[in-house]
Amino acid sequence: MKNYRRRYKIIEQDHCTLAKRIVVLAALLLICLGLHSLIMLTMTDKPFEAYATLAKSAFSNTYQIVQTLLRSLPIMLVGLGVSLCLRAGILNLGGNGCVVAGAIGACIIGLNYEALPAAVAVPLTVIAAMVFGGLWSAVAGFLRAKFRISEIYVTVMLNYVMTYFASFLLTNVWKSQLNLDYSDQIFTNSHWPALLSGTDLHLGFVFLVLAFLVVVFINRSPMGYEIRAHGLNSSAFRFKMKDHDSMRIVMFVMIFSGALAGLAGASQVCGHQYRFSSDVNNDFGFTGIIAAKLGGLNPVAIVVASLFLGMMESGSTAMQLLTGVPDSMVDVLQGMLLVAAILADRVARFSIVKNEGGEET
Amino acid sequence: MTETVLISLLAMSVRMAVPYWFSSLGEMYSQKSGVLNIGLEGVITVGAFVSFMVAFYSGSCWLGLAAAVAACVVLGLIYGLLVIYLGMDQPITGIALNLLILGSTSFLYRLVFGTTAIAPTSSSTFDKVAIPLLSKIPWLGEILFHQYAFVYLAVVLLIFSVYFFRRTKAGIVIIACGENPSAAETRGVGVNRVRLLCVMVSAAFSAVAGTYLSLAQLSSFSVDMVAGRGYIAFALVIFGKWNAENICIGALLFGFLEALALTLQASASVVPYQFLLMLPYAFTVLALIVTTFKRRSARPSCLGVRYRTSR
Repeated sequence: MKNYRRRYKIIEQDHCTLAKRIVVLAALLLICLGLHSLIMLTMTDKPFEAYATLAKSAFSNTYQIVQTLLRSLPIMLVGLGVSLCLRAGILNLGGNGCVVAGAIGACIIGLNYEALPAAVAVPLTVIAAMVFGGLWSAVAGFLRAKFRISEIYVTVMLNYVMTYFASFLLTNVWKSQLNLDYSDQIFTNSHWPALLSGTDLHLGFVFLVLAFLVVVFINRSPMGYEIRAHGLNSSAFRFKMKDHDSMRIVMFVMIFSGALAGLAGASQVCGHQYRFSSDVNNDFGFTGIIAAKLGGLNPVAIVVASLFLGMMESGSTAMQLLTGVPDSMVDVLQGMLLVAAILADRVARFSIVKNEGGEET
Repeated sequence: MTETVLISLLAMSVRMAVPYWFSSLGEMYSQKSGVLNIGLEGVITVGAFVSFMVAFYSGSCWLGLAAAVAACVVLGLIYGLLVIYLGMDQPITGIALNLLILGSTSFLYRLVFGTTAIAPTSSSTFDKVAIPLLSKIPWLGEILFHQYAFVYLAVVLLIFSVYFFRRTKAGIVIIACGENPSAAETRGVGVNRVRLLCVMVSAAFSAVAGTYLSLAQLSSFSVDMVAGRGYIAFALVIFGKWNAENICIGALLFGFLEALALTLQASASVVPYQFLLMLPYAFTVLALIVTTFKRRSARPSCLGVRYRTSR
């Protein structure tokens, strides 16, 4: 043992190659899957069959594929937005609150303005959702930028505030006659039009493509460089640039991610649920972070990771019906995926090199 | 009439303050040594879950408490190894653990009990203990001396913590690890070992908070029962400026807010109850803003910074 220690040593680098990260991530994901299938063994004799059922039912027919896409759309939007925050070194956990805020914004338009033509109402829902989401996120962004209050607690607290506010709206303002848990249906003029007739694929996917292009553009622009610099070392950034540049970056990424999260909320309301309820937000804020981290903050990889996460959510119901594995096991897997993703980021930086002699450690 | 309401409100505040009290006191140990433990929410959940499970099946709440502390110390050990020795980013690791734990506990709970309309309850719970003479004092007796044993334990831990950080060498060593780890190392302190120990201590404190939630306040477990208390406890450490007495005053304040919300909710009031339930969360943000206006920050200077030992 001692001999090996002398011949090899573990060193840590600041960067790692993409290939190495992918290999490490794949290895860790395999370990995760192994651990998870061990947990699955407590419920079913054939865990891999259950996984196969999950994947198959998520893509079995056109309807299911559309459902999978619909479930991944909010995750993609939130993930793309939060990837900029993470690049800037801001751990924005406020996605859930912003999704709900955006949904409220879209609902205000959808429930109140019946007379507007669809060509006006639909853009209005989008604008309202993005403004609401962006403003809600700007609260935490402002506190972070101006007073350096850690965005982590503020965003989590604001999530709770928004959740209770939404519950207040549901019980007091938008109470429907039939049921306490849902608002009335929004008027048809603010329904987002379907892209393909006969499916539920709605306008939200156009916004997704736009958001994707914007994120790619930002990453390649001078702004993206500043964002990365801020994330790598914010005090060096403040030293080199000016203090208000740091504030500008923080405000920008927070508002941008909030606006995208708001859009995700609007896509839930105007795209396929057509009413406000607590089902609008299915923990997209955190799932978006998982997607962003799993995709290594790369826009293309985030979209792929979101599809994977959306697939798990849409397939889990069928899996519960067919194999009897409860669908909440997906939550366990999601948590594992995030741990694996950040562990991979870290482990990939270590490498074992041969000791070239000389110094003895 | 108002007198009884007031007494019960204050007694309830003390009861509501206990989870904050324990978990933020514990978090202070971890932060003084220089490690952010954002996984607090998850640790409390594990504490509540494990203690409930063990108490449900063994019928002994004390066994539940012991099991919760053991489970949480192991969890703290894992978190500590990841962030201290592997050098993973502390906030995001904490968040990841929180997510993993919330998912796993809800899964395990449903696996064991299924989805039942009535939550299963543990037969053995902690009872209130009246201190013989003191509980006869008119007002104070009811508020302070007719409480769960956890309340008395909390006071003991507060006194101990104050003494520990002001008067003992071990306390100074922990502070040194957070303020200037390389100086501590030149004095022969194993900085990373001290930090790991402190993370485990903070996890043990949070385990007690979790046990209190599931076995004293209630006798059942639900997945979202912690409801952000971990994050609030975390903010309380900042609010209390890393000072044990201030942290406990903050915990009492938040306990009072929570009790106020519940009391007002019970008596039909003009304000919708959702706004009352918002109070602790909104107040946390306010408290954080107020804290920044203080001139001198007591924040340990190497908080959240990984220390690479030269040995």
